[in-house]
Amino acid sequence: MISAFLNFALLAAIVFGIAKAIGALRRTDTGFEPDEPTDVREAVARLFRLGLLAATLVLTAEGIAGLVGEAIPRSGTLSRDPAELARALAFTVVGVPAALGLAAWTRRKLAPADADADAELRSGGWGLYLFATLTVSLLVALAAWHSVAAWAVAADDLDGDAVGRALSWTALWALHWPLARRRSAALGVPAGRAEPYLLAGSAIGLVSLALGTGLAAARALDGVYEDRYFDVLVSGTGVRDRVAEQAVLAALGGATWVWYWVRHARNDGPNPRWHAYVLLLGVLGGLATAVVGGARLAHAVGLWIFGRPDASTAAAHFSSVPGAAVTLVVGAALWWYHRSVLDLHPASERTEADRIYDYLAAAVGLVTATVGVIVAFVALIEALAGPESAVDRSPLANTVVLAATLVLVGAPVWTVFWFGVQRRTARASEAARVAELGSISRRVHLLALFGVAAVAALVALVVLLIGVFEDIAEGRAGTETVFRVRVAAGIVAGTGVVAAYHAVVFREDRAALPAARPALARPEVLVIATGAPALARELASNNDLRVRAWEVADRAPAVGAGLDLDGVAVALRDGPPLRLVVVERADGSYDVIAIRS
Amino acid sequence: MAPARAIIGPVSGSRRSQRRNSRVALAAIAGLALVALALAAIATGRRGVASYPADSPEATVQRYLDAVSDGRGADAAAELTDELADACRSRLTTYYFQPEFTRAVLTEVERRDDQAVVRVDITESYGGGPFGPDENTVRTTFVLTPRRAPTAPTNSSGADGAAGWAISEVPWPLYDCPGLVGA
Repeated sequence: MISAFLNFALLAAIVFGIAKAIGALRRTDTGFEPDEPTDVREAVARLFRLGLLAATLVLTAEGIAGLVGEAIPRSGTLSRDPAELARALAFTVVGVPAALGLAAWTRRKLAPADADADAELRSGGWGLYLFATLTVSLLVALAAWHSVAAWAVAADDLDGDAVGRALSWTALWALHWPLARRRSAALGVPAGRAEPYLLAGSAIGLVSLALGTGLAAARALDGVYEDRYFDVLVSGTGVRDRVAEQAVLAALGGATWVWYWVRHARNDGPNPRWHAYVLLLGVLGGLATAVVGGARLAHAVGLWIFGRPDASTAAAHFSSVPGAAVTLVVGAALWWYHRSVLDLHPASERTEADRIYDYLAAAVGLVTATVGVIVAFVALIEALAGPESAVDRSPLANTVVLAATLVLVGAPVWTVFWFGVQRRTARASEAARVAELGSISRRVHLLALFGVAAVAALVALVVLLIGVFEDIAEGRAGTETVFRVRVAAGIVAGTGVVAAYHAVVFREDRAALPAARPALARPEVLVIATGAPALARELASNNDLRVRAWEVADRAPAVGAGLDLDGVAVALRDGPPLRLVVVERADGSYDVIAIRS
Repeated sequence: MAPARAIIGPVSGSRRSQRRNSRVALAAIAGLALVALALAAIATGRRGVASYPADSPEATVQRYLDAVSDGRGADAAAELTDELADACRSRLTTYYFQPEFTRAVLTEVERRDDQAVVRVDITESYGGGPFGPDENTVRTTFVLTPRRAPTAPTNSSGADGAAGWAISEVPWPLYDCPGLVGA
């Protein structure tokens, strides 16, 4: 489970890194795009220098880790591989001077005496470098500290490399943390603003805390259950050590989460990034976890009452209950906490993160319920057309219990989220309704469900017809044929309904939208003023806008004085125009000019 | 001039009680973590590894799993019926059929005159993830038949003339054995 999560996290980090790199040449880490001319050559040179610095730092950290590892006696190892020492030495000899040289170069670039220091500090490339270094060093250091702590509290062997890695990567993290804070200060980011590296650290901490706590509790409860009802035949690792391993992960994750989230990112306002983190990881992640735990409990109970369980004793049948109960409780705790955090910063407008949350939850519910319907359909055909000779089949009652569980879990989730959106959209103002129907989340949701369901239905229809035509050609068409194609028939029925329904909704949405849909575009604001970047950043940080800033020269700065930001937001919220120009007058007041589309 | 936050909309008046809710939730989660750790302290598998009469089905499965766990393929094969042992010995003694498993828990035993079914939950450990190996628990079934001994009297296993039990169907972690009729 942990490696699956880490693989997913790595993939997400790669995708995020690519996305950041694409935008890094121009964009700072607020939604504000500086309108200063970008020196592409300088930006590419910066990325190259910082990429090289990151690579040499990795070499250095791994080299030092290897040397420390060589110095620590290893339990259970008779001889050491000389290649490991050679590799560690080579990494260190090459990495240390190269990293020092590149770090000195970068430091000179950031020194106040350098004419381009401010541009360097604010650049997207520097932000990307800090994000990647802080996130990767946090992950590697956490894994290494886990290995060291597991040796201390459980029966694990001491891994010298892990000790070295824990020290070197923690040092790397500690070196970069103040640099990231300095960049935030230079960008004028308010204290407590949830910047990407803070949210990434919060996510790593939260998942480690939840996984560690859940697995420790599940293993502990399993131990109690086994002691009470079963006999242990073979025990390679004792319960206490297996629990301790996960308790260590929970402690490390908890410390990380408290540092990143509770101390630095929690009190941020409802900006889109913070909102997306709380809603998608905390609330949706918690809900999905709790639903999975609840479904496992419901299935176990249903199978015992209505089905034909494999186990003959209740103790054996319900042995999965401790793990399922822990999953339910951990998911509910995640959901509850993040809902309460969300209530601290209610947003008056529906954001894209709200939509993604609703549509993802609806999709998960619908897919679950559809699988349940397909299983029920297959069970029905088996009951009506199943030949007596069919062997190796799950008892019909068990199939029905599985189908009922899937439908009972999936249908309410889909109903609550999907019809909640539909009801809210029907009652909304014209502008809000157009924004909802034209939103990218809704269109992706409808098209993805329609597309996947339609393809599944077509493929299943082909399989079904092959089976039918084959039996007709061989002159044996009958109830046996129906039985043979039961799974394909179930998929055609289930996914066909899903595809048709979403095609209808998609067409209705298109009909309801105005012919020209300017609401699909991202509103633009051009600020022409003294201190324009600060104003632009403030506007962009709390709204989904594309803000450009043109600094007015030769005038005393009067940042923000007299600009009715609320008025700007209202002008954008109440529909077209989608382009505004904010111009500072000579007396320090502002003109807000709507641009005809 | 309106403050920047006003762009987002009104802030709830009951901010204090919401903040309290958030803290209650945080405290509840911390409490949950502490309960988990407390459970960890008390749930320590106090009964240890069980022991059974040497000629019982449980002991046979236990010896087999012990041997598999230690990589002693020949000893594991000795717990199978002769026909099964001949078919499966090569697989059991091949290094890549030595699974890493951390725990085997006996959940059920069904005995009839000529057969015993022993159900065991085996927690397999695989991979070397950054936060320790992953685990997966599989429910396995061992089918055993009495091992006949021409001179042996009735013994504690309850099977007349039997000298213990032998595993008679392809056991975990194997799926099939070469040359086995019907495998």
